[in-house]
Amino acid sequence: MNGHRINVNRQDFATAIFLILLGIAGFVASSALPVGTAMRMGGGYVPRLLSFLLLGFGGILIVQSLFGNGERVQKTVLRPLVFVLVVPLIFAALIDTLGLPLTVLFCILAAGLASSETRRWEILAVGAGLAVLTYVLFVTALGLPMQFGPEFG
Amino acid sequence: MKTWTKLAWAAGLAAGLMPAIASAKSDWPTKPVQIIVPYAPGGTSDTLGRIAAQGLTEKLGQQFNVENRPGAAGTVGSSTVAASKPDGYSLVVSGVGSHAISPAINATVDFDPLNDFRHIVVFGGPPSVLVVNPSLGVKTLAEFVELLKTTDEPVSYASPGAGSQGHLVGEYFKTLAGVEMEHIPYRGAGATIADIMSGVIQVGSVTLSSAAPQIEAGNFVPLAVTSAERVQAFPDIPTFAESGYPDLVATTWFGLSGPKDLPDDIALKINETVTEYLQTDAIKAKLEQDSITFKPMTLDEATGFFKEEIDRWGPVAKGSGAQIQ
Amino acid sequence: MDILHNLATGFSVALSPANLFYCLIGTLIGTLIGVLPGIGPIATISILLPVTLYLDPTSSIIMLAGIFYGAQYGGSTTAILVNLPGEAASVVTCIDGYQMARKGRAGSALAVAALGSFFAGTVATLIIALLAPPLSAAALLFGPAEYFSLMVLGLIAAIAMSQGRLIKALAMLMVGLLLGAVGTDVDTGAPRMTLGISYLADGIDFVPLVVGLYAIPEIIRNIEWPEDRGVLGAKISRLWPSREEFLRARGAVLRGTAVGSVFGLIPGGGSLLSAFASYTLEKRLSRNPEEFGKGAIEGVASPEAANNASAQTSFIPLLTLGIPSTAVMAVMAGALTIQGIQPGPHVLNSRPELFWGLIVSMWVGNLMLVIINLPLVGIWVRMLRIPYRIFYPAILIFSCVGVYSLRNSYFDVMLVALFGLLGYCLQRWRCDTTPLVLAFVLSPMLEDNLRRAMLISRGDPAVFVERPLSLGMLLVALALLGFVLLPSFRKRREVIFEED
Repeated sequence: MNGHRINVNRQDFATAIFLILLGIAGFVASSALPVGTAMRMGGGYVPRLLSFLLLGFGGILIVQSLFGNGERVQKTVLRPLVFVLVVPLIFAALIDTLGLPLTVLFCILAAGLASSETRRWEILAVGAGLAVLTYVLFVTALGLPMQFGPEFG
Repeated sequence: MKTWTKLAWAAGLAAGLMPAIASAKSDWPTKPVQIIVPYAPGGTSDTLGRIAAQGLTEKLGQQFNVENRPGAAGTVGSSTVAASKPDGYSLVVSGVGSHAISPAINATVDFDPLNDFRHIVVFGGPPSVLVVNPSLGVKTLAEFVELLKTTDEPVSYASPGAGSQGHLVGEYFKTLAGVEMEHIPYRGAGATIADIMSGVIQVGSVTLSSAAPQIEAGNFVPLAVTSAERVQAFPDIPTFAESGYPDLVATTWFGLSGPKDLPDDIALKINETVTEYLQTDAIKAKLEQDSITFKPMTLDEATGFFKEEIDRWGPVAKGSGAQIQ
Repeated sequence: MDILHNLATGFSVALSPANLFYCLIGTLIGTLIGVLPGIGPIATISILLPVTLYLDPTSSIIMLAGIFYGAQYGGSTTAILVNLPGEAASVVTCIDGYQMARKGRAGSALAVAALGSFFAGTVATLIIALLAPPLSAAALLFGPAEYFSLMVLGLIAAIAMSQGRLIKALAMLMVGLLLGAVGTDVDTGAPRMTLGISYLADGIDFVPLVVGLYAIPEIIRNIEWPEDRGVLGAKISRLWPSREEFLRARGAVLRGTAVGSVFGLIPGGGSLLSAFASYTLEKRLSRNPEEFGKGAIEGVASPEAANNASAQTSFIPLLTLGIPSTAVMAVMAGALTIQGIQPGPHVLNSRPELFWGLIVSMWVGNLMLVIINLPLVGIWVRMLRIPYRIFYPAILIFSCVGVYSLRNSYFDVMLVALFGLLGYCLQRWRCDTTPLVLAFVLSPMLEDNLRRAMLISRGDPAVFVERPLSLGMLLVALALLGFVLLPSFRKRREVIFEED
């Protein structure tokens, strides 16, 4: 006979929390919109309906997760996660002020920090190379309007 | 004595620099110019922007490049140009949608459509047309109004979008004629035309250019156009003006604008070049295809036109229900 | 016979040296640009549109069409190699294509995609040549009610093919629907859930979403767990599909072609739905459905055939009725207009050389794609052998630049980071992102058509079952839902018995 072990399924639990938070966010974001009726829906009808459904699903999933099979969760290795995600952020922050080649260089260097396999001079060379390559490809060849260098003011 | 010397130096320096500054201005353009089309490629504004760019490139010897930057009914691209340097290197294809209608109904529009821009040219644009599906059984505007007034069945009309010219024309028409119709907004002309063709909805208020193929093919019955005079390509369609609604003259017009404080001589150069180009026979023919008639205007007239349209459509837009909180 | 005469006209136009050249240039450049992460068919066409304006109308449309297919195919390439769909329809190719790459069979996947697409393109071209005018009538059968039912069918199909637990798949669907609802309200034109951010006024863009949800988590995972990288970088023994794979792919390609040809006719239905539908169909019919999602060759062959077939047939509403059925077709329509040709019912009669020349050129373009891409497979596969520590920064930066180039908006790039985080979390929590993406793409159409149908019918919901086509699709959706629920029902009972 089974002893009652509460084996929390961490993944489902986290998912459920996410759903609930998103449901609340959706509700707040659409709160100012007119809801209307099912026959004549306003702009807020569908978002609010979806938010409720998300809350509902989240609730069900939380309960289920408490009685689920807790799988062994892999440890989170922070370094790749942080440094990969930071690259687009750095790009967004720098692109309009520093222009394309410099931004690419900084981004590549940051990206390199994500992996322990990165070699210092190699990544610098890759960064420089890509800075040139992306500019030539996207701006010169394709004619996309992107800055070359730093522009202040 | 010393003060006079200083002044003399200053005057001399200024006199020396004057030619440099003056010639810097009148040397425009010295590098490629960007014309932003704040809509996706393929639409009327895109076509007009490219035509203007072509003319300017040919006559002024520098590259004028079109860049599509769609977003929020033309306001994102317009906003970008309003905030850019008034050096003559960034221009935008402005229009009734982005400058007269959106600012009136959309609180997140962050520019003043009249004062944050230097309006340079008005291209004009296609008029709207009221069409019906043949199954409705009416052939003229008068018959249509009659039908609306006597029928029990509610009638709906389609427009390519909430706040579009078609929508506003439809609402305006309802007020002037004293009739009721339910407005069914679509997203874009494609689906609108398709549904009117299939009969799902029987009335449409759309731009003439989007309905033209179906009118020619006989799938639509056109009731009236919103241009001031009958359109050359469709001489059989009466205008609203001559059908008893003299106030209902409107086009989905576009223009070319720059940021405010754009130097006068640059604006003048653009105005003159584009005006001349658009009046050549080849270009006239291209514009005719889209039912666009170009009317030359001076800079002041252009600004005046913008102001008129902004003042006119603002209240109509607000009253149409295309509202926001 | 008329059809032979027409095809002859078409061939004479399409095979002129100039047009052959433009077709080649178009497909080649289209492929190369389409391979760049983040730049899909529309962006590619927009970039190259100015070039085509210097050509005469027929040549320019031929080149544009070549660019379109090329970009589509390039998008499939990145889907297979780095789990980055180049455009909506390639999302389905990611599912099995990338898994095949991880198992060292990238070459096989790419080859099957190319050949399957070619077959589908050939068949679709024939269909167009024979049946264009009558088929155009099909486009008009779809009103708001039918579209809504079609979207519902699509969503149920997404659930049917999802992996993992049903409730989580449904939840992902809801998340996708909610994210897709951000943007402009169709009724009033007012911004909705945009939090006052002007960049969100047109909604969340597809590209940052998928780059974040699909490519980023894979990069993180591959850095985190080098052992798990699979044989991505190891020596590839075979570039060509094995005999067994060929045989299995055969049926999938046939079915995919059929599904895709039909879906392409529906304005707005398009490639994504056809890819999903054919994948789901294939999974249902397969004798080893558990392989799907882990690198089944049918999972690549089927959606690739489907989306190429639908890409071809989606020209029909434009060429015969003048109605652009997708955003890409709208750009094509614009290109024609600039050239002085109004797309409409009369093009067939007034400019037959344009119409038939384009149709034959479509087939020629497909042929060129195969010729160009098969050798390229070797190059792409060799690229996978670049040490990962150099490969992933390159992919990352190309993605950022590609996303930025969409609208010169740094905000879009920030979204990549946001959705990257979300994608990473969802992967860790064992949630399938595919229903999310499908729901996201379909959400605006679903809601718009629901509200529009209700508006037109004056609030009468019976309209969805009164119209036969709509009713038919809802019934199929219901049946599919039944299929989905039954096995999981059975599975649950097994589990309960086991625990006792």
